[in-house]
Amino acid sequence: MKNNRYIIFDPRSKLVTVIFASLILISRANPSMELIFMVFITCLLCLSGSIKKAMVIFMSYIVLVFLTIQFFHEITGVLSAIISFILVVYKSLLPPVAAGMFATQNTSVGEWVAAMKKWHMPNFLIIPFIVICRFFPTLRHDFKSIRQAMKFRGIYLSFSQVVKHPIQTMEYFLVPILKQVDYTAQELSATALVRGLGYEGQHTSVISIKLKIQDYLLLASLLVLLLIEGGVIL
Amino acid sequence: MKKLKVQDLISIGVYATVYFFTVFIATMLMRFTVPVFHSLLVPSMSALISGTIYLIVANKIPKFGAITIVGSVMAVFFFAFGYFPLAFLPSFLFPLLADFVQTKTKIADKSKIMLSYTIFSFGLTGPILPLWFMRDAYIDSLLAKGKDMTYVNSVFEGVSTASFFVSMILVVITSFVGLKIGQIIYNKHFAK
Repeated sequence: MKNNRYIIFDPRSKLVTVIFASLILISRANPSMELIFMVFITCLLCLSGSIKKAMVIFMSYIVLVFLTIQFFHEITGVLSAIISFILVVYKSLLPPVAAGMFATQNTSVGEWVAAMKKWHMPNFLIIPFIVICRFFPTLRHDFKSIRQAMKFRGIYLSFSQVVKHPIQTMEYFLVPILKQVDYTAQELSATALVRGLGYEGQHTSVISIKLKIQDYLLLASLLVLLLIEGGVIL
Repeated sequence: MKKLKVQDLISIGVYATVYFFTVFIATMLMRFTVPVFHSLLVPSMSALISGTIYLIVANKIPKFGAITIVGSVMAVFFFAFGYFPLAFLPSFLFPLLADFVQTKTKIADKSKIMLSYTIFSFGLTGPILPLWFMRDAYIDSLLAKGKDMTYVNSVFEGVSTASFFVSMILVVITSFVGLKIGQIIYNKHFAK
């Protein structure tokens, strides 16, 4: 593991947090509930080691709330209605985004795969998932190289170029990438087969996936929040 | 129908990444050119530029499941980054339907791919559907504050119903154009 000072949560409990955040958005929770959840998720982000991100998210939430209350208390015209609408939309999107950050932060691909295996997910879901995670950095690298090669030949990706020759610009980008992708896919297949991905039987994993005390605490507190939101308690 | 092999799954993963990449480019293009409601145009923009990828996937891996998985990449992304559940449903259901049309039905090839690509393109409408859904939430929250909303309500009514139909019809048109462009590029570079 990268850092032992921080608390590490199980991928499964992270997923539950994401679902809970989505539930809050759908059920149109009252503002105080949203605030409680934001504080909660900020604490979680701090605990798992991304204090800076937690602060940015929380501060932007506070700013949005402040702006909504302070300046758009009275809606007078179309413009202020639209701005206020955008503020409300961004504000209510923040909790799920924070939860998504919490889920993807500090979780390696291996952990996700181990969790998926634990759920007995079929191969046709797991393999594309691994490939996408592994392949993405390569694609970015290829993209940069292609841009450099284009610059070298005097083809710039400028706004005027895109407007003047949209199809040509697209062709210059897509065709090299897709050709390159074909090779990469073949190489990846070879590697994967060598590593035994095509094996039909039971696979084993180095990473142990187990719910620990912190996961139980997280799940329990989410349950309490859900009960409060549902009006069972209070 | 033949089952997907490991090699097929890897190719699908790779093409799915490229598809994700084009959607990302479309989003960025829109974000820097259209001010506020850029997200409304993202589905049509990406329909315009991902025709080639769709053609390659449909022609190279002609088995049921390929198109569904490529489209579902967006579903996983929307889910992980906390767009809410309704957002990931369309990006799973529409590609599934497109996949069904492409591999299981017996329409003439040309119109079949056109139809399935149009259906596929609707998969990206997930994140913008909430804009109409959120509108209700917004109005609810204002009504809770005790505002008289008749005026603002009427303003929003026109804006959102019109923009809804405009963006949906635009998806159909751009997916048609996008597939035509895709076919030109495909025939020039990839057809063997």
